[in-house]
Amino acid sequence: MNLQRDPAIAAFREEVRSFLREQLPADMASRTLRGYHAPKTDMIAWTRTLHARGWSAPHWPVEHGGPGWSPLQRHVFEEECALAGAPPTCTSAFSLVAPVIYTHGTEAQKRQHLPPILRGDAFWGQGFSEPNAGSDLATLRTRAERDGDEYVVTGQKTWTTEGHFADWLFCLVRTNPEAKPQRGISFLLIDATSPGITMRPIVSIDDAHSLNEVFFDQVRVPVANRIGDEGQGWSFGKLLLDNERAFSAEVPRNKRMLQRLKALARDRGLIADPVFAHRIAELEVELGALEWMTLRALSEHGSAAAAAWPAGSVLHVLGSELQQKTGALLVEALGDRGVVAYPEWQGAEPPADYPPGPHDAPGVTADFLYRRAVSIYGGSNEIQRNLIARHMLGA
Amino acid sequence: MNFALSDDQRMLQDTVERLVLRDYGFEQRKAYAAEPGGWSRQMWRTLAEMGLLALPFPEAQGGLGGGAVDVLLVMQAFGKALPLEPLLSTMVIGGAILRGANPAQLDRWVGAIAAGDMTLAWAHGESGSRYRLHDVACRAQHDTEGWVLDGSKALVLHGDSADRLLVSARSAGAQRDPAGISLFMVDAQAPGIVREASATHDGRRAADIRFDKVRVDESDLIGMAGAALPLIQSATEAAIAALAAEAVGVMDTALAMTVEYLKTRQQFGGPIARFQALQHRAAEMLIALEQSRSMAMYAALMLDEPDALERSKALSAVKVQIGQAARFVGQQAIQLHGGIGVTDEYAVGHCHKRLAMMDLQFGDVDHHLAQFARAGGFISTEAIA
Amino acid sequence: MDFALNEEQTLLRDSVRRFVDQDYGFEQRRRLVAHEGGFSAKHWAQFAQLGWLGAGLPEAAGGFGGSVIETAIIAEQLGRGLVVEPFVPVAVLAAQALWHAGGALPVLGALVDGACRIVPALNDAVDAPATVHAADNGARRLVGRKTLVVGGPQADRFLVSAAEGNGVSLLLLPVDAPGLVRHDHRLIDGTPACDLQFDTAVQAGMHLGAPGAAAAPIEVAQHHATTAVCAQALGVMDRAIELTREYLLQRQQFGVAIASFQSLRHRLADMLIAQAQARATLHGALAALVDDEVQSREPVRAVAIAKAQSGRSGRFIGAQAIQLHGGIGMADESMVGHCFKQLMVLDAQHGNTAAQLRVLADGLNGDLPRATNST
Repeated sequence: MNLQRDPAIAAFREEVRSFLREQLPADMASRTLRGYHAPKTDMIAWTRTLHARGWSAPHWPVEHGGPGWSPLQRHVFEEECALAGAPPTCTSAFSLVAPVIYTHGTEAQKRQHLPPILRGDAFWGQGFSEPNAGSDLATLRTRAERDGDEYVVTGQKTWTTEGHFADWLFCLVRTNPEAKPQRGISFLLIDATSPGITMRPIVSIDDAHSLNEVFFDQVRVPVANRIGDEGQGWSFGKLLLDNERAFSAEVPRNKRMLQRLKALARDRGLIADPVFAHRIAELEVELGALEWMTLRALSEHGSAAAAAWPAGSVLHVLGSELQQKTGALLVEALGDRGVVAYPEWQGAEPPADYPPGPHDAPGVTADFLYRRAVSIYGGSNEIQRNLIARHMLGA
Repeated sequence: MNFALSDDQRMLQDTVERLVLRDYGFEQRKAYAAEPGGWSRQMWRTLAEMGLLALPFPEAQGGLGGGAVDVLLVMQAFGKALPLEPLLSTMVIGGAILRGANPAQLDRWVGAIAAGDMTLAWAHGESGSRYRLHDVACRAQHDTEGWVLDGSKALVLHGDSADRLLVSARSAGAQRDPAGISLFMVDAQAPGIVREASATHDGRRAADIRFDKVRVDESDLIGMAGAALPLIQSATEAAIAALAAEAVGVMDTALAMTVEYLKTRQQFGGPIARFQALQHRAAEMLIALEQSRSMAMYAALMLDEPDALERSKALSAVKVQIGQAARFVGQQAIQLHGGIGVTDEYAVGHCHKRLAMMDLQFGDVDHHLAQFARAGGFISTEAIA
Repeated sequence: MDFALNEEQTLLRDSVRRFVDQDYGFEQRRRLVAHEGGFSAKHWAQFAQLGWLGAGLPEAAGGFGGSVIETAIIAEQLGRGLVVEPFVPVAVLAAQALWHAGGALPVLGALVDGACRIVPALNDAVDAPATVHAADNGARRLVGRKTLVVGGPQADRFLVSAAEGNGVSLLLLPVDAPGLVRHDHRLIDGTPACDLQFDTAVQAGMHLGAPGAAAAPIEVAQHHATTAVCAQALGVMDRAIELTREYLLQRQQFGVAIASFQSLRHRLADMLIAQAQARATLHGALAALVDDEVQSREPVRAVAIAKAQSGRSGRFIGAQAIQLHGGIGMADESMVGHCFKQLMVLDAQHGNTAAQLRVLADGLNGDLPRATNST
């Protein structure tokens, strides 16, 4: 164990900062920092900017276009981007489906899909959960019936984040209803423009449209769009969810929220209130612990030490609950303005007749409300605790 | 930065873990606690023979030149035993304080400490000082023959049995002045010292110590007179880091006991481990433990941070997190054991008491949260547009 | 001491409950919020007709002789419906302030009849507290800003508190007073609210009671209104728990109803415990307010405790209700998210938990503060 700071990291951090200073437009940063869902145009534009530098896929292997960074470099990069207000790139594409494609896809599938993702030319949505298959995903019912060299897909997916932006969907579908539930599931890549697909918006409690229901009515999908063999979908899905968890402490987002909290508090004289200052300090201590745990988990990932503790689940629980606590204190810091409904706005100035209040209030409560989801998606915290307990107590 | 253990580090950890497994079971611990002083001289000799007492001292003086990570590994592994011996005060605090000692002093003391012939107790806190490191009323008067100490120290852990006392006393200034504090290595048997022993909440021993015109030789002044506060601060930081590691060991034991209990205890027709509410509680304990394990590593890293403010902020954050986790894990361990958890015969109650005590040492959660907040926390608001 | 409702109180509770069940279903509420401005004149007329607007006022005031207990009963049942009409601001805060400051005025009768909606504006903007300035020629001017004026867009009159001289005044303003600017908006639960900005000449007759002498009536009114808000929140908590219980029993995963998972059962139990705490502290506040013999500072403490607990319980219950609903809890179509948002709105009014704890902490020195102009 060597816990010395890496001197090269400081230089790397400065390189990233310099890039952000030069390349991240101020208006784009303002929009992102405001806390509403990022518009597709921002996400695509930023992806293209990153791609020009070779940085759009920090987690990917070099052979597929990753920059070859260490886990610590990736962590620093994500942190600097978050603090500067860089919009996210498409998580479903870069972090969820791409690793499945480059690990288990055919060469043709890799050639078809990885470069457009890398460039920012392809936006993806996830089709996993269904109305009756949430935590118990294995009981999913969307059916893919084999018909020659195509599947005919019928069913319904839900909670598809940014589905309305998507060019492609990756879905878990049931190819064999006779087999045991997990064994009858396959992983299909589906062109979102296919006839028979209907995308229905789900308005969430933050009064925004980010989530969707997706209806498949006899959608024809080439068998060549299947990853791996029939019946392997469940294991790919698990791989994807484990990946999602491993980087799911969301330290960068937590830092951005805490930074916003301190600024808001400072501007309202709340830092001078020792009680409020203590409450902020408690969150900061938790964030420090979370970050250090994340670094440790990143360092151990893939090694024998990783088996000693269920890092992904622990980080998911802590990272999500910290976001919620920080969000709650942010809302509280706004006082009266914490319960005003501030509609989303993306321009340079809010529209005329916008609700009254200071310029730094809009987006805080909307973000807080949306963050109720972080303890629910990707495996709810109840499920995560089941997994942690299972690690200690056995099945 | 790399979290994997090197071969040497693994060997160090394994050695201590084997010692604990072989010689520090709960029944054995009870026997040690019954010895005079409340700890085992034989265990101390074993630690000396293993070289552990020499760990942080410079090699030139017979130490092992070990660093923060080595101390972390030893304290964490040994912590699993809920150890009774004065390891933290002698090896860790002694090691930190003697960084301010001159070569002649190191020659006199390091060998004796390493051989197990000299145990130390940290006699710094006074009643009413409430974790304020600069709050020292105990006085040190200089005269032609050396120094004379007058005053009292409160709740000195192992103060009743220690061979030597590391004593802070004020040679100049008012009670809360940062400047004017001096540090002394004092023979616990010196005339004028009265030690009133008491049992601590977790079954160890402490002493209130009165100094009544106690003579101390010039050669026992450590560092410059009146300039000891920085050394006291860095010793406290080293203690916090070591305590954090030790707490991880104790929590490890508490959790292991709890898991075992959940798997074996039968109620309502099966092991209680099948009850989801208990599973989730155990999961919460693991979360707290792993947070603490990570924070103990962070503490070891930050001990070497040259910026004093950053270092002190970091160690305060560590103490806050460890204190909260320690309380939580200790309490949950008892809760999950049901009635048996509150009996003295059963080890888990001792874990809880030890963990509660650790929260109180070197500054509790409220104290360090206030320090951390006052120092501005981790995230600066300056950088924000 | 008797915690059971008497026959009249039971009838009152049941009639409000019936209104909510029949006229304030979730779909009806959505339409009201989305398409009808978040206010129904028909509902307001019903409140008046059924005597609810005067329920907590003595008969001498034109009311029906009840106390804060009656208003709490009504508020709790309205809370179950997540009602957005400004019952507490008008029928409790404004009504009590008017009664204690001005006595049995005709305008109070009009409030009780539903003919005049008097909306209180007691919350000062931090940077522009409402103040009455006297010019050399004796002319007085009201300047400043009020925030979180709940029900403001539907006001017929505003009841405004303002610093004047060394004290606080209460002024009754028409909505079209020159120099009065309204900035309408919605709160996150759909409730209509506004900011008010003043640069208004103070006319004769605007003052309620003597200038600068309104601190005491405002304090009493605040106690009543804060307590009523606690009751309203209790009703929202009740709805949230009911929805959650139903969902747990009906939702199937892993081949069983998720109500069979112990961690969820215990969470629901924790929600119930939190609600019980909120109810108990509400009782404490009600007792302190109706007990005539207790001429002490007790109401300040009891109300602060109730409000502190209400916020804490409400935030926990609201958040856990969403959590236990899983993904559905995130959808706007589901009532449970609206419960959470209304609990946040109610917490923000009359001082959130942190503000109440400050009051209680200050009280440890034996010196409880009087209610001030801001919440």
